[in-house]
Amino acid sequence: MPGPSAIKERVQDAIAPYLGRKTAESAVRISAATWLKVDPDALTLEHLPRLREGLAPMLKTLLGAEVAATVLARIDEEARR
Amino acid sequence: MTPALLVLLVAAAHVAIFGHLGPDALPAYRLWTHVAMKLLATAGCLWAAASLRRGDYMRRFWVPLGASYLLLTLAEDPVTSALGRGSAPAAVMLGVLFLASGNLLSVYATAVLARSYSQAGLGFERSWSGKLSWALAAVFATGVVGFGLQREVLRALAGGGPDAWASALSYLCDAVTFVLLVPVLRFSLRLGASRLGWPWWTYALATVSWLLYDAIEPLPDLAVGLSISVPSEAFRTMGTLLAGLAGLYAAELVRRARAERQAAAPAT
Repeated sequence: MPGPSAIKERVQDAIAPYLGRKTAESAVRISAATWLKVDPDALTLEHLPRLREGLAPMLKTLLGAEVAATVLARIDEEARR
Repeated sequence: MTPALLVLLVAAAHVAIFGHLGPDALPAYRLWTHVAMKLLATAGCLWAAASLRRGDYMRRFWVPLGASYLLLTLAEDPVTSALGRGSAPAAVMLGVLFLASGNLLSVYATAVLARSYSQAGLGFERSWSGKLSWALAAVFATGVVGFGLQREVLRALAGGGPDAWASALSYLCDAVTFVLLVPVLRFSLRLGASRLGWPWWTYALATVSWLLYDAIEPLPDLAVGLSISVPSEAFRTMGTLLAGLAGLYAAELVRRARAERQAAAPAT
């Protein structure tokens, strides 16, 4: 099972090709703080469903529903790898 | 050949032809190439809009931007004359209407794009550097469009008619668009060379091209005998074609994501 900071990195890795590294970091930080009240470094696999819920509106706004769905699928794939 | 390279080659060829045509052929060539380029920009933007789903936020950017280029196409002489059915005053009024609404829609579209980062919940932190960049952009925009705006307002006040007011409005819209470039560029920097970065950077470059187009306009008055027709045409061409290219990149982003999902889906 991946360690806590590995989850943060993996989620960011899934988002970065679409939104860039800086925006990926901001998206994960804001989503973790707003939806889970946790530091991004403390993210675990159990946090993933809520984290996705927080990331979905951001991704949908910037990329559209279809691309957002692809990114969310990549997040699942990366995090559980 | 990449679409960006194609745009550069088309723009270079167009500007070369433009620079070599004599006064007899130039007006017709200029008119029909402007119509063609605006239609290409319209198609690119509307293609991007069509690739998104109903309710997607970015459609609020691409639809008005595409409509704006369509209205600016309709504002060209042969179209307004045809729609005005030979009546000169009707043609002028239609031209004014299309030009004004096209420019206003373009400002609206850029405002939607500028707001998208905060709309996504990723707003920038308030900072002195942020406020300073807004202030500098406002001063710069005023400087860039000031000459043309003053000329058109004076012309309108001297009885220049509705077309002078529409022209003044278009300078004002350009100024607002240049100021809105601040958040667009700030977010583009954060996007870097990512997939979403391509349409954003391309649209930012289109706006910068229009900014340069306005910026060089007063030069002949400052240096007598200086002709700006060729660089002016180059900036206009890049501004128009890059807007269409931005749409193409946005549509490609969706197409690629769709293909990835289909490839990842288990075969049935």
